[in-house]
Amino acid sequence: MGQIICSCENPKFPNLGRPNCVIEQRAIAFPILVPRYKADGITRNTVDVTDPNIGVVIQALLLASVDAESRIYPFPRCENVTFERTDDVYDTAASSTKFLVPFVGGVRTMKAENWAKNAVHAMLREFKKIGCTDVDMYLVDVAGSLWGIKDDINDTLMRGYAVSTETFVAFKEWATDTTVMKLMSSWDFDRTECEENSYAITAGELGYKATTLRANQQAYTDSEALTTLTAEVKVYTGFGTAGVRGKVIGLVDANFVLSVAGVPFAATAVETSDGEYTLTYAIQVGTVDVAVVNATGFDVTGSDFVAL
Amino acid sequence: MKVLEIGKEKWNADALCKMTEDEAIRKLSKNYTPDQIRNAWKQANKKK
Repeated sequence: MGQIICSCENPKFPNLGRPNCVIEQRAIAFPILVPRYKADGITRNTVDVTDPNIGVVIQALLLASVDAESRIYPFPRCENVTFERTDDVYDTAASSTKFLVPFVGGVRTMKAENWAKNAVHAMLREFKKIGCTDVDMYLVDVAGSLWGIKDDINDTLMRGYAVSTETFVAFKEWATDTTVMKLMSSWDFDRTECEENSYAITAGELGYKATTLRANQQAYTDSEALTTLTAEVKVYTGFGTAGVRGKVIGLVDANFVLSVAGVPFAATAVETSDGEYTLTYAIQVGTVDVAVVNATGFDVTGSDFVAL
Repeated sequence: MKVLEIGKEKWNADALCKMTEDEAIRKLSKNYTPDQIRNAWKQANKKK
């Protein structure tokens, strides 16, 4: 919540006039989660609003090649997004005179729902990753503007709304005879956040509607040596059925980085069936680490195998 | 992991057992001849 800074020697009063054209915040389409600090634990993740290529910069922050603690993570499009506020707290005297107790109460809770395809269990498993590391959230409204906080009007860096990560919860709502499956999530904003410091980067300034920003899919690899000179790497997602996993297809040589003790070596890759790749390389000794890189739209967890 | 040594090559017998013969030929034909692959596959399946 914001602070009312009183200066009795230099009192201020509100100037509530406005220009003809202002930027309204529309209904929120979805939040974009961002780790509060970069890997150094000190540098706040922000975007430079003066960057002439701000739209390209923000799109680039989606890439799995960006360090995980500097990346942005859009939610799927949400339904029924609400922002509830707890009551303010007053101290009431016997005379019935009320006194506001500042900085108590007035807690903002954001609730969002994801429906149907956006609520499948693989998505809920991803939601369960939220809560360990402090996060902020940018908010995308239905007009395609990206909203965040500037603590001062002259700041050139905009951050996400500070989230009280300890309050994050996500759970499944089962489908019924008349409703589809849903994924319900909620969190409080940090009690010290000042909503009045909200600013927008509009769709016009981005060069696209922020509603088009899409998350990566989580993917995984299983790898094993087949012979002295070949290994098989299966690249898959958590989607699919109990017996048939989602496949990541279309990867090529350049997507696979094989290394031993941190030293990469050359390998060629042939997709022998959907999501299954035979890699060929010179004789190796020891444990081979397999990384899949630059798989557009996927964040792939690597694996390793013992060379034959 | 069960390993077959055929000449200078080592083969992952466990992995070969999980494949059909055709699948093994399809996956390994870049580096080995079909006869080499068939031979390794049969030996792997004999050891099952």
